[in-house]
Amino acid sequence: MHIPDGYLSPKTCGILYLAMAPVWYLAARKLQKTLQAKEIPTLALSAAFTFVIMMFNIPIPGGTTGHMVGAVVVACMLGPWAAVVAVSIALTIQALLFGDGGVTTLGANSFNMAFLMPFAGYYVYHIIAAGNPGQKRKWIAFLIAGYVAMNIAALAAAVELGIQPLIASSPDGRPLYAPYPLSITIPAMAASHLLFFGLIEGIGTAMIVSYILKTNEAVLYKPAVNPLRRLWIGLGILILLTPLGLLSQGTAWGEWASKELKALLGFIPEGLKGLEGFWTSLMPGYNIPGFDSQVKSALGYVISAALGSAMIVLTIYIAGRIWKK
Amino acid sequence: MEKVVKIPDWLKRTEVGVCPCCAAGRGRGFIEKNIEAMASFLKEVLEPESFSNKRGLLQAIDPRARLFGALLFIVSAALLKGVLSITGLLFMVAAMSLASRINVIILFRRTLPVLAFTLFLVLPTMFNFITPGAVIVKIFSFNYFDLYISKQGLENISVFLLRVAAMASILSLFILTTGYPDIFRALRSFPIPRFFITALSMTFRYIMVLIKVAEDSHMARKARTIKSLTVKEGRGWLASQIWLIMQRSMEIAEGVSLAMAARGFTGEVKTMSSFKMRGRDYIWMGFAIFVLLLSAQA
Amino acid sequence: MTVFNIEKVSYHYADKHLGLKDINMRVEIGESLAILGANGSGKSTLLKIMAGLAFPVQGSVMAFGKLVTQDSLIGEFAGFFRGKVGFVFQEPDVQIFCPTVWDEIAFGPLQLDIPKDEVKQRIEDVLDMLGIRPLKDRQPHHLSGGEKKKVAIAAVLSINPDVLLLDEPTGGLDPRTQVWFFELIDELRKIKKTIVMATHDLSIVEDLADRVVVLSEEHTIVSDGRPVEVLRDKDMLLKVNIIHEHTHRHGDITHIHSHGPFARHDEHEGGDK
Repeated sequence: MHIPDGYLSPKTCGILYLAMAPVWYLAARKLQKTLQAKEIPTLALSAAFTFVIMMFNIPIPGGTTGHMVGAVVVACMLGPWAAVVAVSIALTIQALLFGDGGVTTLGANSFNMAFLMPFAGYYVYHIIAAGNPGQKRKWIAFLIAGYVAMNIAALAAAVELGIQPLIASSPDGRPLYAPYPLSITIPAMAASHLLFFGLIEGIGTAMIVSYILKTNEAVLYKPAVNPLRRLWIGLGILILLTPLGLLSQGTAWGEWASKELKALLGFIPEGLKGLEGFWTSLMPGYNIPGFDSQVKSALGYVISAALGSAMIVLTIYIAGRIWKK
Repeated sequence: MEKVVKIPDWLKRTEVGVCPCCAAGRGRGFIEKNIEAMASFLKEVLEPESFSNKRGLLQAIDPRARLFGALLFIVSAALLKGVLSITGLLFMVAAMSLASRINVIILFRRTLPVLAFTLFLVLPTMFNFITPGAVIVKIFSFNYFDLYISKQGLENISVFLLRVAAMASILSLFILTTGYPDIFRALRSFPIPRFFITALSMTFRYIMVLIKVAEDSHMARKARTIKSLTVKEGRGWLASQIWLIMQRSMEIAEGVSLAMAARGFTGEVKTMSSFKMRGRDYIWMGFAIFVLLLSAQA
Repeated sequence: MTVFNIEKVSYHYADKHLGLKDINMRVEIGESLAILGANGSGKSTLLKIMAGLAFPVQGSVMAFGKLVTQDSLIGEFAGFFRGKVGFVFQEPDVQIFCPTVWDEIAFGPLQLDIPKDEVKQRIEDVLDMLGIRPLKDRQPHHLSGGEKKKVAIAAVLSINPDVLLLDEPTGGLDPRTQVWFFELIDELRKIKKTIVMATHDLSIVEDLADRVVVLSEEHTIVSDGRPVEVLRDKDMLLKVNIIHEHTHRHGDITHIHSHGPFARHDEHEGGDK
């Protein structure tokens, strides 16, 4: 999963470092408040522990073994923000001291494994384990959380690698960095992670955290605010913002080099599907076209988004009630 | 005389001899794999310590300048576009390596894993079904289907491989010529939050402690293994070991925070540096900037 | 002058387990005190409470005339207190967290805002005093157990504390390092440092302590006085699990005697000497 130096163009590396900067900053601020004087030792030992987990071979049915990342384990034990820092530190040590993953690609690897993975795993777990679940449902929740989170990280990596030929080629069309396009990287990463690495992560996460819960329930991270509430708020904001995506698509983007546009629109929305409207709304240079013609379609957009989300939520809610165990 | 320890009969049975089964090798279970992984890790960790003390070019440069230069060279390698220019950079790295009394073979050995992986990954692009173009090596021709290695394909993978090699070897060279404490000290001069660097060096410190814990428990388990574990048993045991390591981590974290408080730590880490920049350090940094600017225009 | 004044102190662990019960004692300046107790008796906890690293649920701790609580240990008093009281942990790994020995010894003085030149001088002096100059640039994973102990003590001495609290200082030490430790404590006693050692090692009590406080397995103080007197009370020592009794035979003669984990045979009953 660790992307080595030389696979990503300097521009991609730069963008992902920039993307991680606010994440790191926020994580540091939050942890300083919650951990205070214990911050440094707790983060250091969590990172050390994450590093050691990454070294282990996890056996899965079939007799094979593989390595796991452990980001979801740390996220469930210490909370997602602590996981951001712990995994980032572990990745930094791996990259800087052991050449495992690149130093220029540290931003990208952190984005995938220290940001997307812990948060995805954390929220997936809390969605599936909502209410008062029994042992079995928790185990399954961890399994799915690890599996999904790993695949999301893999998808992000696939996109980062796959757009390289698109955004960084020599004048005669030669790819300068990772040479495979999205049509190859996505299926390749998807196959290997859906069929293998995702399983390792899921099984490993379930096995570790379940064991811990058997011995000491109190160890699991207790979120201050119900994480589901955060998700509702986030979802609400997204629904409201999606029409803006519609608006910006209608405008002329003459000032932007097509390559950069492809880069920004190409990978960010794919990597973060749900945040599509949000990201495009951040684009500067707002040309606001004639409102009226857009209002109706904007309204239709909001309604369908709201309907879609409501249906998904309803499904999960019903499943949760039926599946109380 | 009262006996304190009552020895059971089965424990009194002592039979010294050779095991009849030992001849056949057993499959490498994950316990063995983990032990191997940890042993090779420790070996790798300790490797730089033999080179950072030699009297060579890079060792004579202030660690902060050294790091600055290394980072700039890595970025330069990222910016270059042609086979010739990247090869030139590689030659420069080799020269620096020799001047620092480090055999180029050792550098190569350290970059081999990522190189081999990369080669394996991009090998298909060498062929015409990915990268069509002028024929270099014809593999076969069947009806209308040709398989050959194309010039463009070869060029593509050359650039990519050379770039990966260059970046990995520059970093390796830096690591080999700089002891771990100096790496962390050098980082302090960069715009990175202090607490992060303190956490970084502390992480490294306690990785060594945790690996020892993991190693001991794996060895102890291996010594008691009579038949291979089933997958489920194996996972159960591994989970218990990981929990053990986690507990140890938490204990240590608690202890370290008390130890830091006991010696006056109140939240802001105060450090002292003994580095001094000299003329040669500035020359080195200037040279790195020069190479970067050249590469940016290449 | 009384350095520590501990009154009616009780302590519970996080899981409601009892740690200490109704502890009353004082520590006078310049004295060398041993807190003797079996494992689990609470002696480490008592030491940590003295060091302001743990806080009692009942009772009070006064140090240098001022009340020590979580709230009072801030700002100027914290700086004063931390500079006066040095704590050596049972496990060296926990207090050696810096990249090199040099950094470790520098850590304490630097946090207390001692000028950098003076810090450098102190490091050199401490290295020489403890005979660990060759270890100056070593990384912790290259230190042996005995070396770690010396570095841990060095890192605390560089603060120049008036009070030294040591938790099980001789645990796991090889014989030569043990001898070194005894000599060091002797020297520190001569320069009038106040020393408190939590231990179950009777030889420390006999050789190094002016006074000894005994903790029972019920987490209370059962004895407080001079070593000669306290150690004479065999029944008490047996009861608190500091010593054990066993019998052995020399030919026709049966000896019953008691000794602690490190102490020598002290008497033979029922036979010749």
